[in-house]
Amino acid sequence: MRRLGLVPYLMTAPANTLVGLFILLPAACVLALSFMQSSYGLAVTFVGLENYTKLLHDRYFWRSALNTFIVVNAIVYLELLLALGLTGVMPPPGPLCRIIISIIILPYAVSEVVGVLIIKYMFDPGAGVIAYWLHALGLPELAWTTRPGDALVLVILLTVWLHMPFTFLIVYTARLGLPAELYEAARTDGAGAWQRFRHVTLPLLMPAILVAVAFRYIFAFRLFPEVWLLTQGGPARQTEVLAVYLYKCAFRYYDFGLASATAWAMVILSLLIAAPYFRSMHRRRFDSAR
Amino acid sequence: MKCPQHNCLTSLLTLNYPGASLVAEGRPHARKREELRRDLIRRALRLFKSMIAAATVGAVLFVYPAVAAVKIVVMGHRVHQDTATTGSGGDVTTDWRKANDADVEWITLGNDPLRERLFREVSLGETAVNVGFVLNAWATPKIAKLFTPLNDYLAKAPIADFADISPSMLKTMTFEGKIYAVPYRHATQGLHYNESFLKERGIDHPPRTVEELINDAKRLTYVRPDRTNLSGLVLGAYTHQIALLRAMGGAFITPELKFGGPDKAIAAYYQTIRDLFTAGVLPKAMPTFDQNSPLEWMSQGRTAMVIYPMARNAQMNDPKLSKHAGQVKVTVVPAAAGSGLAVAPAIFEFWAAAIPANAKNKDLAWSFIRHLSAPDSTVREALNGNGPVRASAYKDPRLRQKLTYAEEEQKAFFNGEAAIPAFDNTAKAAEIWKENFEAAMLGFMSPSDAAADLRRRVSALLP
Amino acid sequence: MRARSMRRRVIGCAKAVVIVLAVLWSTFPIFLVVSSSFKRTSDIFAVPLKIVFEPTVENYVGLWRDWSVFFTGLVNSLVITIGATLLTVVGSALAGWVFSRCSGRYFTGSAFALIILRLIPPIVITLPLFPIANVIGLNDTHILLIALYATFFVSLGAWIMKAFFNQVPRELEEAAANDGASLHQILLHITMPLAVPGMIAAAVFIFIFSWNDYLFAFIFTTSRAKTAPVILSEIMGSATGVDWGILFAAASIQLVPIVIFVIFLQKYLMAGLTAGSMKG
Repeated sequence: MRRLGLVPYLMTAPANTLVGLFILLPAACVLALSFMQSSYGLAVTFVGLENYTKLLHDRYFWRSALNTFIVVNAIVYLELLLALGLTGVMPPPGPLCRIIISIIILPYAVSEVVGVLIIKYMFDPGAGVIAYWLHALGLPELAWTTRPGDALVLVILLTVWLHMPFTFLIVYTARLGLPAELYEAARTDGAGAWQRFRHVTLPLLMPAILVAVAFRYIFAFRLFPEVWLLTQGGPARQTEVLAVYLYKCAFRYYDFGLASATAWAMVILSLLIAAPYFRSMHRRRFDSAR
Repeated sequence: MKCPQHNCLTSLLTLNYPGASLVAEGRPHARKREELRRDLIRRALRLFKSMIAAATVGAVLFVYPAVAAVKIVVMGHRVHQDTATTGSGGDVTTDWRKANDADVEWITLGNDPLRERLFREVSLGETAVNVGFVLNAWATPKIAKLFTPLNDYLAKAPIADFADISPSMLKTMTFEGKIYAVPYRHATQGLHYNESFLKERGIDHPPRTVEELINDAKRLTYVRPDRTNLSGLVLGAYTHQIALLRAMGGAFITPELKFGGPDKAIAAYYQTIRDLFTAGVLPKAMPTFDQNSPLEWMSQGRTAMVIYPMARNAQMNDPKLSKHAGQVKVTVVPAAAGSGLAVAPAIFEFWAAAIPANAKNKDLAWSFIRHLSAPDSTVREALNGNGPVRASAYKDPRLRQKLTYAEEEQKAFFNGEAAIPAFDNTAKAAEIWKENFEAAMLGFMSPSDAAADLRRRVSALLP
Repeated sequence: MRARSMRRRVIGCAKAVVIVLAVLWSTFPIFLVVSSSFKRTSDIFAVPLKIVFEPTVENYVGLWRDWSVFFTGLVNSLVITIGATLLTVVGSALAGWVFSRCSGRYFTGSAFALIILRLIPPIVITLPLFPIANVIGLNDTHILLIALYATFFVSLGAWIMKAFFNQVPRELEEAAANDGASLHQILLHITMPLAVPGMIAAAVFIFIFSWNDYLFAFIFTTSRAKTAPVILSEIMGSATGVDWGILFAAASIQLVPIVIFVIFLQKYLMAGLTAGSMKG
């Protein structure tokens, strides 16, 4: 396509402009701002690394980092387990299979706001249906208004409910693409169901599993509406996650310098999580000539 | 990609090169796939076209008129909208809307979200908000930069009987000789109690000391004959919680902007709160409460007592809103037994209407504020449950008859104190108060630790 | 022999039970919301849950009466969602074609940069974007939200389109070029129509995301461009005991269209995920 000249550049321009203008530029601004002190009505002054040291000394930052770490890991692995389990019991492809998939995907279409509404209603101590059944079965109640652990459990539950379809689809479509001959061979070799799973399915699904896990880590890391709409990070700021902490710094305490430092901490952590996977992806995809 | 044995639909999406038509000639199965594919493309293109049409129609029919209609956007707390529009005083804004042929769009938020959104809006170059309600706790010189001075508007189109409006409130909203907001609503904290519940437990008078209040609250936590769980006391937000602290003899931040303490008093307060919580007197849901929750709980009969603005008694007794209309009485918050005071220090706050500096259509905004502040409007708003900011309102026969607490509230008019005085870090101080209150209530910190931590963190904020 | 077929039947039963549980898990909450929207408030709070009840439309009437701004929000959501989808599809198709056909460091680099930059959490960019958007005069406008949503999905879209374009043989385009067709004609009449399924797949993701997004709408809109999820959260925040029915009615109206949308387009979701996440 040597004759094309400038045209390819023009064609990629919309995508590049959008991303450059709305992601790259603000990210650079935030980096600069993280070295400044800034608030409403205050002049912007350079303060070096002071924001970062303030951040690292704030016990609520560490609390939100810990919460984020626990919640994100729980979400990712729970979803993976459920997705793998579901993939294993799906009927063979056909109309029934399609109907079941349509139903399983439904939660993906639900907004987080509606999700929080559902959780609040189902777990309401007085009238919630799940709370009623927990009580009837003699199980401890989920006191999400007073115990931060219980509130985080609900956040995990909601996020898994909302996003498991995503993980399931990735794993399931990969499973569909696995050649049947391998299973035949394994079966004739006398391998049981569990052994077939461990030695045939799992290794072949590994690329898809890695994709799903990487994506879910990145997306779960940004958790905001579920926590914000349920507890606003309380009680006593014990259920905050990093995004909520950032929001409060910026829009409640008006400390933009500290908020920017938090923002860059989040960016660095996001990239660190993604780096191993994307390095291998880069090697695989762009080395093979098209 | 080979078509997996069963899943031709997946292959439908991947085998999309035109050569397929040549291949399809020989195989009926593949030809049908090819037709399906072409049909799919046709349908998709039609769908895209209809989406564009729908968006355009939607934009023209709905979005443009909504944007172009004459209206003012008022950002405030739900109570402002309620007192201006619903209740026995009627809708105060109807006359204004008819006279100006304009609509009023209310954006109502809780206290903290309101502060966030309003200050975010006024910090921009331009905002759609025309009138914003500010709390006296936010009235610092920063307001001067963010809102419009109103002196010129007062000169051109004065508010009727302006001298009647509380001078001390106006003073709070005046910086360097310029008035920035017109007081609209004042709220003095009082003790509301459901008389019938008290009678059910054999208590024939409201508590006269704070110790009696605590004991009554414990006795009033029980399962009622109709099987609802009753909480003895509800404290929704920091103003109510600090009111109780002051009644018990402690102090948070004094009007001179010093940390009140002493630590012992605050620790004793936290201990009381913790005891009340473990005894079930304070409901488990309290950490999720906001400014409206005590009203909601009182109206639904889920609590026996609340510390809440006196003026809200009207809503608690409104048959349209409350299940226990007519049973809720209000009195002053009692003082501690040995304090020598007749009543607890009156905790009082007020809201004022301001015009953002970056707002458009300021003349229309001013005419709205002017209308809401007129003497007759003030009385009607008070009938709707508002705490009036005019001394004359208390003398109006309609109010005197309806509001039994008028005398108490009028006293506070002149010598009440703010829960947290206005200074640059008021919002942060309120947040820290809330955090430590919850930590002490839920047992995350011991009362003495929480008190010491409170003093340490808040003292760092004080000037 | 008999034991094995017995075991197979038991396993089949167990599988069916798991599937039924999964179906219940997915649908029960949605069913709860929609059915509660037709209940009276007293029925909503009835303990235990009332499955049989007398339906009423008073919640929807109440929604129209008390919260009519919600319907403006729905229209805003629709306009913004369609706008963002169109912008994303166009941007992704163009960029995806280039990534598929052209080699060169600039293109591979920019394809990669697109993905890397997308990893930045959206909340990070809201901080400076808020005053910047205002300087350009774009705060509280539909255009801003359209641009923001498109920004975050154009990279995923470009990768999906690239995978679909990889399947269209170059020979086709080269043959047309040899016949004298200009690039514009080749793209419009040959390449793009073949990649329509890919465009639909990309469109499905951004459609769902824009319709449901809370964060950007919450921070960047005040009244003109407020979308349905934000208004829903406001109703939720100010709901007194009497308002829960209205809340469920609003949630149902926001929920049902997109659920139906996903049911009909689920195979595109699958295709999009396959193309965007796996090799080729």
